[in-house]
Amino acid sequence: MENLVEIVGLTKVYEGRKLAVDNMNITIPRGKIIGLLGPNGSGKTTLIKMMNGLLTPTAGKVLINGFEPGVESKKKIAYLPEKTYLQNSMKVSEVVDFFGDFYDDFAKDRAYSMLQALKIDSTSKMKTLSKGTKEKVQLILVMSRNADLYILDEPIAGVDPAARDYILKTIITNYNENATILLSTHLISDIENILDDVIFIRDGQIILCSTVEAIREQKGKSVDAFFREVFAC
Amino acid sequence: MAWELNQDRPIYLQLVERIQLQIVSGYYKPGDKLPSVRELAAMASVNPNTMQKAFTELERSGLIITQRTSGRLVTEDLKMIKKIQQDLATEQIVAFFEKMKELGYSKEEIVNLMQTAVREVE
Amino acid sequence: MLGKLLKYEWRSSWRVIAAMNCFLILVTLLGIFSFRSTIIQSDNQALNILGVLTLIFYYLSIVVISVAVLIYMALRFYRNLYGDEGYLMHTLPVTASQHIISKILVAVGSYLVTLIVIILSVFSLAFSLFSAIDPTVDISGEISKGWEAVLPAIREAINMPLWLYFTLFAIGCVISLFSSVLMIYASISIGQMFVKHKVMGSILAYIGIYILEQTVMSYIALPQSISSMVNNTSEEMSLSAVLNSSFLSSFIISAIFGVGFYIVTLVLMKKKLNMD
Repeated sequence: MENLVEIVGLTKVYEGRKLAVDNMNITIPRGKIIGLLGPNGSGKTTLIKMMNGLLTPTAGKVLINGFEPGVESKKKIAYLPEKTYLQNSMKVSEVVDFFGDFYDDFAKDRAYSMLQALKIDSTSKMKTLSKGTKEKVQLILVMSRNADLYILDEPIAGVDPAARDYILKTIITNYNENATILLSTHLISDIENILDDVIFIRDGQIILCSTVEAIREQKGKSVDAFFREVFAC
Repeated sequence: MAWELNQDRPIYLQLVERIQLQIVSGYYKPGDKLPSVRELAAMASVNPNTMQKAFTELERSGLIITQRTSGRLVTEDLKMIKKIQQDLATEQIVAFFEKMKELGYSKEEIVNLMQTAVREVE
Repeated sequence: MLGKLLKYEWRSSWRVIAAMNCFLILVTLLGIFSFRSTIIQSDNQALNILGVLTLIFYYLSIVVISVAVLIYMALRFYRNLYGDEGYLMHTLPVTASQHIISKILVAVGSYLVTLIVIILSVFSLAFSLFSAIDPTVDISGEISKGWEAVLPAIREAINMPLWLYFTLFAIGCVISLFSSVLMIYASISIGQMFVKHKVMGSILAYIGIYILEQTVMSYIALPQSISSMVNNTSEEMSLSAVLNSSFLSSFIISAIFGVGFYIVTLVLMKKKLNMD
């Protein structure tokens, strides 16, 4: 199978503002768990939005499975944004039905078993849940899809440590060689053990693409420590 | 709970060591079937590809044998297991001696200390 | 996919629409009740004033509710497609046109339901008013008599079967409704193009488009009515002028603008989406 994601010359300039993404070229293969790492304002979120079709590029293209962002690519992408994006007035069970309705690859039973494991009452309305619980629900919905590309923007930042372990284990057990998981996060030390590769981004450009093992072997330090070195203020 | 892994060394090497330890200590007996790559990866909270790399390494050394039908088994070669056990023990001893020398003890003093400690433990 | 979007759009909005319509019904009942009591005791000053106040309140309620439905639909469009929920909606395997069509169908449908409730409410209020004034009057009889008197004049003025005229008129009204809602959607989408002050941008866009549409309407519709009035000075002919030209041409202009609004909304959503 060819590369899952191909990004060629991708650029985004906001009106009058700076260059958010600067002529990026990346290919992302299948079957990997990849960390997208960079400081705030580095262009991670802009890149992610363009992959999801939430933002139109100024130049260049994004191809997912050979498709530009559109109906075909959206069928195969499971996206977890940083914000709460579900309707507050809906119940958890209604949201599960919603996902099942629109996505053919959604596994309802998996969603319900995860909700149970995290002790979330599916009859409660979204607006009654705490912020951390809302984030868990959103994550469960994304992980219950059998997508080709999972894009998780800060999946564990707002979640308590016990649930974090559960979430990381879920990501590992859901892994399959046909799919790729792209994780964008600040909490590098928490997740670096589950990553295959890391991509460092700064000022809209990719400054490093490497495997976690290579960094540890060659630099003799963890990705977290190496990151702090590279991005020292 | 995730396995405790050192931050600055390659993960797959540490996984190899950990599994070796489990085999040598008898946690996995000769001929035992090991859990799948994914199960172990989830237990250790590591990337499945990294766990796979560790397994490949262990297969290469012969400690683990992959059979098409029955999966991954611990070798029944007791001599190999014993050898690894001894190698690991020697590593520990060498490291112990280094540490004691750093504290300033001579070889005889170390042996005396050991005998006293062993008696107290019993 | 469109069906599913329609389902969820309706599910999210029907409660508010139902509440608004219940309010209308309540106000109607209030009006009927106050009419009954004031007319029976028409010498009581206080109740008369109450009756007039109720009437004013009733009229205001109708105006407020019909505007409120449109505002609510505009809010839904904005929040669901350009607010945080937009992150969910725009990552569904659904096209932008499906989003717009599902929203507009539910908006127009909700408005039509409200319109029907308003019409029924006005009729029932008028009916109760007349029957309260003079219970002996046969209201339906009076209505058919008046209708038969006016009918021949109308028939002559419009040059086509009555049922055809009313059908065209109804279609024209629905087209105008679509066009008005699409104008709101287009304004919201244009407002999104501004980096800051998106809401202000939408309002300015709406005012600008409104002025533009009205200007075009008056340039095209007015000369027509004037020329037909100038050529035919008799009463029947001026009735014809009113019934024929202004309505039909304004409906056509609405339709053209409506298509334009749809295209603007669609293109901006597809090509210029910029979710914050």
